[in-house]
Amino acid sequence: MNLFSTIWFRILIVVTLFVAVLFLFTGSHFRGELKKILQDSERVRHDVIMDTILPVVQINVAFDLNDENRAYFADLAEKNGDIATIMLIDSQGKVLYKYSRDILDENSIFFVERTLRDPQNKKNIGLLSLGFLNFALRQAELEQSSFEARFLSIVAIMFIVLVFALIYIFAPLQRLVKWVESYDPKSLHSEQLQLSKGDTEVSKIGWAITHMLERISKHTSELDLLNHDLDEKVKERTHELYKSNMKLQTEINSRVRTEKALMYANKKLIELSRTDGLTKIANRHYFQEHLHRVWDICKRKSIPISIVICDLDHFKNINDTYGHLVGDQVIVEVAKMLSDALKRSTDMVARYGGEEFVMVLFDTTSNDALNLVKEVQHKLHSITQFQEPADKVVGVTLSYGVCTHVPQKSDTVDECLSCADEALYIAKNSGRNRFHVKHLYDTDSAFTPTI
Amino acid sequence: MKLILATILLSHSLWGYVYDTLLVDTHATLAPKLLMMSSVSKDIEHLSICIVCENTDDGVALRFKQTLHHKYKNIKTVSSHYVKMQSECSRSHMLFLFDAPDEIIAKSVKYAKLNHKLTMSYSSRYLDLGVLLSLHIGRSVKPYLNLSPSKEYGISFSNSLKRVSKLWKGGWI
Repeated sequence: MNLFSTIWFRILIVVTLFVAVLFLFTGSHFRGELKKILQDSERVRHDVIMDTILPVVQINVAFDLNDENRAYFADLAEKNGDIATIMLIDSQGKVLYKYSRDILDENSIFFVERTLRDPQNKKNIGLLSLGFLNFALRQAELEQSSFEARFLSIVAIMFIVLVFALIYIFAPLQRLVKWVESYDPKSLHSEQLQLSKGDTEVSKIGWAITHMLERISKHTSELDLLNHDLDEKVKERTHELYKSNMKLQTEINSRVRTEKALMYANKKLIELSRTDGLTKIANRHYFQEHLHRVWDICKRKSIPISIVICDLDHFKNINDTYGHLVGDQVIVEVAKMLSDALKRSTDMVARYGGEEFVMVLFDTTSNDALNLVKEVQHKLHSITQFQEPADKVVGVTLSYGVCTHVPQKSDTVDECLSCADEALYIAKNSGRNRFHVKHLYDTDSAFTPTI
Repeated sequence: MKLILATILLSHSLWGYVYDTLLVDTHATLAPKLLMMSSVSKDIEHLSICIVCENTDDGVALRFKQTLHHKYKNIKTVSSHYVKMQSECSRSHMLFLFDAPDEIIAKSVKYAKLNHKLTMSYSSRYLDLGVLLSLHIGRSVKPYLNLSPSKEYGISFSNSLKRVSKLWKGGWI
């Protein structure tokens, strides 16, 4: 414990400073007031002296009694030590009497002047000037300064004495603090507190702290045992948790792998559910989904939609002549050609039946659909040879049934599909390798050109 | 009628001037003090006052002397008449002049001036003749101070006397 940080020391400093400042402030105020009072008092005294001597001096000057004036002034200067200068001047400006004491500081002289008047006719007969030293004021200031110096010295001495007294008073407490600071509750042989008999209060505190520390030591030992047990249990549990975590981690990894496999399988299943196994283009089921989606958009926005159904002409002959493998190869290549013909992601081609394909053309008029059909026909005719095993097959053609319609609220997808199917039927009956365009509510075909 | 008038004139010449005993006592009381406040003498043990009067005023002079001795035991007094003044008052410091004709007063003043003696008169009107001191009796009693001749006499007065006195100069008060 540092004595200089104690509350008593701070209070002592504050009180000492307060007393010193208060004393200096009061002293300063008192000195100012005293100076004023003394100055007034001195001024009155000077006036009284001047008024006392003035009648006599006037009489002496009026009657040319200069010797008597000289004697009077000499006596006056001798009896009044604060008279520094005397100057007597007649009406013509002639100096009748002059007296000056040896003064170091001429600024401290107060001058009092009076005009001399003839006692008989009141005429101006001269001027009397007296210079007074302000003895009383200077003496009072000296005494005040001396008193302040003495008082501050006493305050300083008392402060030092009180500091030593505080050191003496706080010595047992400092010993107690050092002892408490050096006390180790785990040490069995702590140093005993050494206090004198006079330190009654400090001894009581010391013994109380000793008992408290003993209890703390006892509880610390118990706590150490508990902590040791807890540490062991924590270690055991930590090991178990580590093992469980490892198992969980393995299981998590296994599940992640399984989940990935499942996701892949699902993706494959989705693809398989949407794709035709032979041609790898969309199957009929996925075509239906897509058609309904596109149909609804066209219905909502009054956009034209075209459905083209294609069918390989005389495909049974190919199968019968070259076998089913060749037939499948032809189907695959035709499907690829149709798929390549569609450029927009909104359009779709799907395998509709054995040798039937269907195309959904979003936002497509009948003319645009015909242009696409013509392009497909041209590509098909430009195939001179299919790949093996269908390399010997020639003259493969397609018949096309086209139905274009802007869906209305009451229209259905099936009606549109039936329309395209009817157009295909017409194209087939008209001699194959041709297309027929039909609108949903038309009774006659638009045209059935022959290629 | 003539007899009555003659009787009055005779009695007047026999009884001399008229004095107030209270004023006489006052003069007797103050004369030594005024003497001590002058430059003539400061030593009360050796003061001497010559009381000068006409033959008819011996009674009042005696009264003055008795009052003075009553107040001041050590002061010497000499009772004299104007005719014998020069011989009897030669050792005195002050001449106290009771009333007399102006010529006699002037002569006495001249004698005092020559012999450096202080003069004080019962009547203030003699100040015009060169008497230095008298008393003004009014609401308060104040000394009359005749400073112009005192300078010629070579006699000065203390400043405190000057402060409390009335100055006499040519009938001015």
